[in-house]
Amino acid sequence: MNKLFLSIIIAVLFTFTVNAQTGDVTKEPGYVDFGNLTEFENSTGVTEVMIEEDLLSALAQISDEEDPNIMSVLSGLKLVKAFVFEVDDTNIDKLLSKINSIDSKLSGTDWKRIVKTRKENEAANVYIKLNGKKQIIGLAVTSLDAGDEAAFVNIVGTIDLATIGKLGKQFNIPHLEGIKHHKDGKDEN
Amino acid sequence: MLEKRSHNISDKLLEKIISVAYGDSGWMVKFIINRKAKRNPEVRELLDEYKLTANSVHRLKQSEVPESVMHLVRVKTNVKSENNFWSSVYIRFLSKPILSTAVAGVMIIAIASVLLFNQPKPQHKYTEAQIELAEKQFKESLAIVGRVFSNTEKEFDEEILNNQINKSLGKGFYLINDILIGG
Repeated sequence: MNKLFLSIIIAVLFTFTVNAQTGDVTKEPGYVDFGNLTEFENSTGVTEVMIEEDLLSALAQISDEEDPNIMSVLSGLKLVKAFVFEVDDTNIDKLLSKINSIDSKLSGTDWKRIVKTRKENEAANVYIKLNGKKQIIGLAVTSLDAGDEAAFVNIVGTIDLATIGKLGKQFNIPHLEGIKHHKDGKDEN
Repeated sequence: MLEKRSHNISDKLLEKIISVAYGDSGWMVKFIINRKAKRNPEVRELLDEYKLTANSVHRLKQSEVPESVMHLVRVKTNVKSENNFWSSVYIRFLSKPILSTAVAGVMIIAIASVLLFNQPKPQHKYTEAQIELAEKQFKESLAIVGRVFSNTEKEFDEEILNNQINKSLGKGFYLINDILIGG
């Protein structure tokens, strides 16, 4: 009888645990916590992008007809998160230090750094995370260009890196506009 | 057995003791009787004796009762043998309290799981402007990634291929020319 109750309790707890895990994108293996970036929000140009799964799937539905390439990229994604700050003399050291701290944090894990470039006042790192089937399930990019901008990007979900790279070059938007954006596509400015 | 029973043990309590001893009771009755047995030696004694009897009964093999006797019992009691699938399932599983509790538990878990997992996701209704903005920001995010890739490629072409590898190759050719042709 005790075994029976124990089994029921374990099954119920398992059910609740599994249920609690669903829907929380921060628990996804491809998610990267960049830490506190609020200290850079005072810089003149700030862009924050946080597009979650439901909005991405809404986007996928309309992109389907317009551009099948975007659709193919969007279909597996769970989160697109980007923070872009304008770099000036006041924040460059802190931004470089942040990039280095993220690099140290990810280097000790199963994230793979596929790009690392370092020049005077320039830095760029690209990391990927693979699952058991060797699919990319997370992409993180940190970059800094003195006199231009610093970017922290995390894309969570099944990622086709080649298509993302191709599309990224296709959308080569010279400078990001100063839109401050939070969850669910609500524009604050 | 009944002769040993004092007036403190009611018929109802005795019935429960017997059902616990034979393993036919629910967990609640079992719990109550076991608790009473711990506190009351008379209940303990009765329970132990009935358990002994129950064990002997449970150990009885079917072969010990000849089929002819069983047939006579069926005829006398007017019971028809029901050998269909559902009756055997009932006899094997559902008539036993522990198993029926287990089945009920599993069913409760299954229903709870279905209710928890099939909760409808809140449907977000986005305005056209919100979707347009999201599209723009998605493209901007990809553009950042694309820029890093482009810069890396450019740097690889210019810095590494042109300046370092080609320069080294050039030096190599110069040396070869110098040595073989004599400058």
